[in-house]
Amino acid sequence: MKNTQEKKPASRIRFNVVDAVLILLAILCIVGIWQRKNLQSLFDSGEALESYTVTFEISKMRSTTVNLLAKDTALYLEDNGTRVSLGTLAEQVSTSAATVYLQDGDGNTVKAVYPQDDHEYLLDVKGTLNCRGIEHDGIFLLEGKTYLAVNRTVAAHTETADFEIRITGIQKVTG
Amino acid sequence: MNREKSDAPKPEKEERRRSSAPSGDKGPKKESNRRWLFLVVDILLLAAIVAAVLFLVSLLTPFSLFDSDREEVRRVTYTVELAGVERDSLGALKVGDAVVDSETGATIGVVTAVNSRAYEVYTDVPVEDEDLNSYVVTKATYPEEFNTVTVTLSVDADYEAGVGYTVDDCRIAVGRTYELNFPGYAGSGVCVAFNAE
Repeated sequence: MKNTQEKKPASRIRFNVVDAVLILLAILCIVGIWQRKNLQSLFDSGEALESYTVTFEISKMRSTTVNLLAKDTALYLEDNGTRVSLGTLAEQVSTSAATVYLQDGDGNTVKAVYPQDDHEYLLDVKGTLNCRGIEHDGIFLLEGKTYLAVNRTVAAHTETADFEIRITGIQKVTG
Repeated sequence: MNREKSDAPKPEKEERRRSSAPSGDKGPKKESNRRWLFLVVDILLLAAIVAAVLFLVSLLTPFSLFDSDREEVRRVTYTVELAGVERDSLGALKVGDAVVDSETGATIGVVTAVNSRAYEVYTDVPVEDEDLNSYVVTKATYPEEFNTVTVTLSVDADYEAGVGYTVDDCRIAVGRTYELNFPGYAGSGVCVAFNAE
């Protein structure tokens, strides 16, 4: 009796589980590069960021610089060499003549305003930022990573100006 | 009744004959096709590895080949104020001078205008102003020997959204202090005005 076992023809294309995994990985990588910004946010914070308003003050800012702080202007700060968004201005900042406490001729402490002249006019500025963050045990983390608190002074910047702001309030936006 | 053997080959035998034929009979063309197939698979594997590396680099570092926040070049004009410049040095600040930032070594502009005025500083002595009904900080004016000089500079800067304007890693922004090297003068100044085209 002849061996009826048939030789299987040699297959021209071998496609196995390993090939399937590699192709799947390649597709995932391409999708990952395309959606990298969305994926980055997953790594940055394990929790969803919430909306907050942060109020601040700037002391003795030139009036010409104040003009650069319009509504919706984006502010940033540097945290360990990384640029972090401070949010955007909720409205045009409010201003008043810059003041300082000095002693008069009689030794009394008095509040004095800086004068306005042709070359400069120093102003005290107040503003409100719309930003995102999370709160852990009463500690507010801007963008889920940078510590911010009332009375903290941070070096902030827009695209065209550098200045220091002092935080005066942090409120969660409800609703 | 005798069954006659059919001369026609049975289909199974035909198949066996075809499959048992030596591979050399398939021809060099099919062998070449197989080599090309392996090459394509190798290329796909390499592409998968490169894509994985790019993905990790793009995710974990600021570097990205596909960054949409590309730099563009814009012309900016800004003003730097130098305080306490001696009168004898005013002539060293000239229109057309190229100015270098000593910290970064970058040429951060060409002087387009120079203006000077009396050098004044705020004092710690308040004066009562009846019109304002308030105390006012007074200014002290230095002798004519000292001046406040405003230098207007113009330069092509790289603009990047979120960062602003830079010239060879030197950021141009209002409020920044620069250690400026003019061809015939060196001094420190603060940017007090900025305009981008």
